[in-house]
Amino acid sequence: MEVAAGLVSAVASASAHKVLVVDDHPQAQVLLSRFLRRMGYHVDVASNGLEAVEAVIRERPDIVIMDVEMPVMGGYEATERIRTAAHERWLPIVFLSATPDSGALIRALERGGDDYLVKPISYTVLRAKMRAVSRTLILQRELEDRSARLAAYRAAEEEQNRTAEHMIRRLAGHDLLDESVLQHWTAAASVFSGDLVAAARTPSGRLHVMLADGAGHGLAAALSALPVTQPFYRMTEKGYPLPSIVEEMNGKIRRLLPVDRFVAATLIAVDFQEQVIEIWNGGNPPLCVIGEQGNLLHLARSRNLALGIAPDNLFSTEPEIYHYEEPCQVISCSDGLFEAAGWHAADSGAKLLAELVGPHEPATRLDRLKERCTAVGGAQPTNDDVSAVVITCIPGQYAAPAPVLPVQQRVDPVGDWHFEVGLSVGQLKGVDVVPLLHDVVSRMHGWCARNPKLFLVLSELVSNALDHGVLGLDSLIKLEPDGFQRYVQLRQAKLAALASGGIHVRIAGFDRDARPMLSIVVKDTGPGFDHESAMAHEAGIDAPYGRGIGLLKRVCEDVEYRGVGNEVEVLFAVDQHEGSVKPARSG
Amino acid sequence: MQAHLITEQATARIRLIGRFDFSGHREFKYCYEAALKEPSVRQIDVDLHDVDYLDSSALGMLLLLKDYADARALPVSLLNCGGMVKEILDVANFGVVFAMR
Repeated sequence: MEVAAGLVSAVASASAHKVLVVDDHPQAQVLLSRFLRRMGYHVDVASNGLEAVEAVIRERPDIVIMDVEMPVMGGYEATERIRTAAHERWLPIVFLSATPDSGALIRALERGGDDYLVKPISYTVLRAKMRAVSRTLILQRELEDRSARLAAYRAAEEEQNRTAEHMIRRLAGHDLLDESVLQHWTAAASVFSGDLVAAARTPSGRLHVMLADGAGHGLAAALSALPVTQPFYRMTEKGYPLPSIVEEMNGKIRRLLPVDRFVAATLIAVDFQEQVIEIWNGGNPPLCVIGEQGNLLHLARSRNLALGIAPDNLFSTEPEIYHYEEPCQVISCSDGLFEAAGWHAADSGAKLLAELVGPHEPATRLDRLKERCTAVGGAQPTNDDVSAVVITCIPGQYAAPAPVLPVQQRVDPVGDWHFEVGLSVGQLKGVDVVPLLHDVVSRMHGWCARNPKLFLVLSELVSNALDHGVLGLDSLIKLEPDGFQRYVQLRQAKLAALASGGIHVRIAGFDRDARPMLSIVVKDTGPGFDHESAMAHEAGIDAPYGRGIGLLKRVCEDVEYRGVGNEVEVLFAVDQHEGSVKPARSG
Repeated sequence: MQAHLITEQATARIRLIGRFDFSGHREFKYCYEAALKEPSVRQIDVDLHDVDYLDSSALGMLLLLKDYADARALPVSLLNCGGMVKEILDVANFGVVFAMR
């Protein structure tokens, strides 16, 4: 098709071609020029090689007919110079020579000529050759034009990719992955990765990690995965638990993406204090928890649809809970990695993964995974994006990042304020109370409320009131074997069945000696407890029992239980930060 | 991938053969559009017996079909899912949104 169209137009557009005739004999110049003009060409003339080079640069002819023997500069030398000057486009050069032998023909072609005519010129042969050259020239020009357009398109695309890649990196928050307990790897099948790894800390120091895989690969997949990052970072920063984050992400993906696009995601929350790993896996291969010796401790299968497919009623946001009692690593990968490694994205694959990396030093396990993918697939490892995260959890190591708090910053007094909130069964079941309270205080006190201790205090007070007060749970259960999982299950069951009860919270802010203080009063409808002996007993700060009273006493200026123990008031200095010395009590 | 549409009375069966990924997009779309146009059709079955592999874009295409079928209140079933195909559908938990027979 294309070629045929080119041939037809060759005849029509030959007239547009410009021919340069180079000959030192005026008579030959005139005859040739006249003949070519009659064929429909534009014709320029030059009388030697040097003039020809000048004319090529100035007039940009399409075809050159060049005599070989000329004074000043011969045809061969002129051709070499012309080739250098017009290197970017094809310029056919036809030699004219009085020597009819084949040696001269070969020499002419070797010196850069495209064709050869023997003098005296046969006009029939010349006409045929000119037509052939014109046809080739038209195809050649089309090709040049296309490759120029392609190059321009490619340059424009590269520029767009550069901008898009920069923005996707920033929006995805790749720069925030600075966690010593976390190793991660992503490899894109194209410029853009539809796989995305993100990590952030809640105000109380829980680590949230997300491995998201937008369906397909390339820019569309990268764009699909992007909307989950904002809820992930924003809600983690405010201390929301995984179920709320998952619900928000699912809704967001459903609203934004077309029906056939979705995002497989694994969300992991690690509470290094409680030694608890929560996992929500929607559509990713099984996540492995592997012990120090390489033993497979736990598999967390995909129990859910990927994000963006199901409406809320078909969707469970409840995470799976694993309580670790020995050093271990959580390894989560996208299906692209399983594919690249040659494994099925099912239990069998996860077991092969554990077998492969288990015998190796924990710190080098991610490298073993990378090696496997490259060994199986070669230099071009995948046709899907690949990603993996490894989180190292060691009992007793909190791995809390240094709090990013400005030191010695002057605190402006904010004046007195207070708010009260009464929560009954409906809110206790459905509202994330702690982030709500923390949010209000943050709005009043700005940066200094970004103190992890404040979130911790609020969490302790609210969970004491709810778990032990309203739900009547005994934290001693946690000490039994598998006690933590049982405690969590019991808590879920009791909360679901809760018919009456409530919590009342009053938070007041005031300035004392020019320092912002908070009074937090939490009262529940439970029967209370023996708070006098609990206060007298100094439980360790990380003891899973004793209602975290030891922790409250360390972090707060004052802790006071009232009545039967179902009401507590703590006094908290908002501007304290890591390393600050508790000032002497005034008054 | 090859896609064939076989309509028997009220059931439209889309039979897929080969590797189900984005390259099979046009064939698959052609079949389900034809099935959806047929007023007598009350049920759509996608027969995966001869599919040896499917990827995430195939899952997306199935969701797209379901979305169109939902608009006409037609149930969509996935038939004969075995081996690798079943593993992939299980990891994706597609049993929640599709009947599998």
